[in-house]
Amino acid sequence: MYKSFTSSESLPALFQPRVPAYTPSDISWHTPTLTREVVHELGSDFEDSQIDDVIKVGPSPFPTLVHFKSSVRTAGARALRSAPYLASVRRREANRIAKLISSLPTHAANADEFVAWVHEPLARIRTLLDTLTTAEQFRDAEFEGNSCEILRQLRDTFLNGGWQSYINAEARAAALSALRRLGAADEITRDDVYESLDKLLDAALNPSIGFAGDDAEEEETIFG
Amino acid sequence: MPKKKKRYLVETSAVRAAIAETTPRHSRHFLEVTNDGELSTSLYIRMEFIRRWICYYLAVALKVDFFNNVRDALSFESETFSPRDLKTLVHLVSVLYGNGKDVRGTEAAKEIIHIAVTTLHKFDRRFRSQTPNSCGCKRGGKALRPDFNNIFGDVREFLRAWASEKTCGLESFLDLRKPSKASKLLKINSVSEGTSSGKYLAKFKETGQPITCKECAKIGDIVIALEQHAAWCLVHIDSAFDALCKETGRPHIRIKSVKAIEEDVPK
Repeated sequence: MYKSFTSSESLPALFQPRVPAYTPSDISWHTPTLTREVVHELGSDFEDSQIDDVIKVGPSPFPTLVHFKSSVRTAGARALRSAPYLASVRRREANRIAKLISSLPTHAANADEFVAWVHEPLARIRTLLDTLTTAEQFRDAEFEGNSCEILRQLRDTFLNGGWQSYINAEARAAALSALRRLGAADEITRDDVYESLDKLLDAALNPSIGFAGDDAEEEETIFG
Repeated sequence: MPKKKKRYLVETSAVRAAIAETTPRHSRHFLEVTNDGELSTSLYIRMEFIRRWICYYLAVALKVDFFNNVRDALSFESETFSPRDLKTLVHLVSVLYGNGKDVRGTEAAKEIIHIAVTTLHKFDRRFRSQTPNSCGCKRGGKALRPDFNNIFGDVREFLRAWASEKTCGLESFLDLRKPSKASKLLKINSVSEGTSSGKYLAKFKETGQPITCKECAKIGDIVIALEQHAAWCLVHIDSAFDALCKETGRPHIRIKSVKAIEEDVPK
């Protein structure tokens, strides 16, 4: 049986006419608010990640304001790419490579054996070069760009048969000079790059392979 | 009395052999021919070397950096029509893919710049002596010593500075409107019709067109021949200098090309 109501005052609360206590531009204490914060911790590897969350909003006479806050924390990743950190990685590994090259004379007697020992410094140089370039790939100005260039010079001295030169003390001394600089300095400068280049060339090492100029004569012959 | 050392002016086509960037046999052949003398270059030859190879390498490096990976960059660059550029590109492919993996565009770009910078440094170390810059070349003396902490910025600056030089003293050196050495040389058929640079210079003289760095790229051989001083013997591979040096009366030696040495083909 339905009861009739003659005035609004006598209506039970549930059936009172509903007048919103807010306008779209006015959020008042009537408006329930849900706040949800999602934090992404950016790792050193910059891997993609995803966070799924479901917000249950219960029924309410007033629109519920959902305040969704997403923040990305980069402190961890920044720390692992900071100039001092990268310099410490470079120093540590350069000293390790220098130690390997210093020990080469003890294995120089046998050519077959020598290649097994001289390969490790090359592999470590490549890995260090990869580590530093990857760490700085999103930067415009780099901290370790000059270090990487010296590592390229050193790497190329091993290639195209150049590893055999490391039997000679002069060649090892030139490479060690560059590695000691990499293993000690806070910052590697432009002058360090060209000084290293000169020392390697003075020791008859080839710090760059891959230049492909041509003879003008050949071009005229082949292409008429 | 000690014997005076010979002076060799190494023309652009023989520079690679001089800096040991050819095969070991070819480099040895060059040394056998020139070991009794001192090697020299000129600002003009250095300019040709930079223009022909170093600038190309640097430009390709910047283009490669536009792409995510080397494959895409080379695919784009393979549209080039220049035979020389195509040959350089083919060689770069072997260098960039040396590790058997697709290298990121930026890393590959830095590898190309490394080759260019180091090669020019080798050039400057090899040729410490220079002949006088009679032709007034303004670009040949530019240094390329970028800071690898700001490598792309420094490379861009170098290429922009290079491109901004449009004219130099070459036009007054050639002085084609008067009966200059160049004008007299052009009257000889073996030069004006027998050499590529002679043909172009004859055309510029006929049309009266101003000679800027752009036109200079077509007449390099004849400029080198005119600039060569009597005290230097020109070492070259390019056969055009046989005719040019004969007419200028300057000493010269033609060495074998890489192909000739490796195939043992008689000159």
